[in-house]
Amino acid sequence: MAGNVAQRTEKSIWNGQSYRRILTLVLGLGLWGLVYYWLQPAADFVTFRVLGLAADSHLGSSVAFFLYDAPKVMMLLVLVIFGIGVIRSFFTAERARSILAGKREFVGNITAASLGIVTPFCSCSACPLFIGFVETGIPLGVTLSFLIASPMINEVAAVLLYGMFGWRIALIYVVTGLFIAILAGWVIGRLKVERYIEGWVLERRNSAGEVAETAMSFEDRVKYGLNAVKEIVGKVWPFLLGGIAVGAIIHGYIPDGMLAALMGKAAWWSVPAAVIIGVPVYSNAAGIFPVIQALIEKGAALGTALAFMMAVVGLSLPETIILRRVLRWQLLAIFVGVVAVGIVAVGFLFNAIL
Amino acid sequence: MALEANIEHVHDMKKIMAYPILSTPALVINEKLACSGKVPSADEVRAYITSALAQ
Repeated sequence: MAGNVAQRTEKSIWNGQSYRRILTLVLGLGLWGLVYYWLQPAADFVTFRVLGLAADSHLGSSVAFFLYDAPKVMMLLVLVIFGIGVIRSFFTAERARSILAGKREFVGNITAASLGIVTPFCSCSACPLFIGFVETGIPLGVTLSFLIASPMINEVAAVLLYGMFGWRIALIYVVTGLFIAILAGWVIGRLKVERYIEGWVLERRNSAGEVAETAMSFEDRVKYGLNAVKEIVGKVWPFLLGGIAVGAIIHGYIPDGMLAALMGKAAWWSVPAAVIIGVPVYSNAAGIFPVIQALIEKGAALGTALAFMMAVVGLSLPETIILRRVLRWQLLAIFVGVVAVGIVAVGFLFNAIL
Repeated sequence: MALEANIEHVHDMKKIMAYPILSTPALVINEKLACSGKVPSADEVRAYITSALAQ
């Protein structure tokens, strides 16, 4: 009986319009799959039949690469950003804070790093978030785990890695990013460097008020996901197409193995060098990607290339400057140093085992 | 909405943190936090103002 009542109330919420929208969503996903499946044959057909280019020529290989990769990566990006957008609509910074409040350090670091991936967050909010976390008594190291994971594990980078190198490398990127965020936050927590937080932040401890959250319907979440697609894809697509074009040219014209001597496994110093160059360089994942791809394809070791990407995407100068308002420079230096060391370690690890 | 209002764009982090804000941008109406972490639509802002006036 109780079940019947529940069903009836649910029906009154799910009116005809909701059903139609869900149907549209399902049809859209089906269409997406179909187009995705036919991309490779279509790209080959256009390149070799319509344009009449030879498969083994420089130009033919470049054009086929671009015509396949550009739509593929765009389609993957739209789907993944939409999916992550819907997931993120369940998480807010406020919710992350209430989950983390009262967690002990090690478990807290793991939880914080995981929440850092799914919580929508822009580096411009690093300050209020830092203060809001610390004042509720969340340990410094746990807070930093969150702040490291958030930019380090970048959804655009993960999609690009999957599109170009397959799911294994995308997974390696996500898992090692998580690992660095957990470990770096934990190490900084052990160092007991709370005295290097700016004084006015600590004075505010325990003064946090509760923030009300608004409920979202399923349709709101879908809308949230679509907005994320519009915002992120709208921002990165020119970089992406430019990047894939550069990648296509390299794919067709530069001989394989050219970079092996400079950035191959044998050159151990190339990992720290890549990180030292990468930290001050700031770019979004889409902009840095052609470089990564070129490096790997022409003989750079995977660990070296991944370390470079993590240093560029995960440690950004703007975020560091923003954080200077709440952290003294000593702590800021420790923060950048510990994360950079973590990235170098990951680079070495992957050069050793892959 | 024909209202007399004093609108201020606050940049100072210390002043911003006087409100329970975890992510920017945030909107405060009559010293009460209305929304944070997103740019609200015009309709949402209208609703915030209406409910702030009702209090």
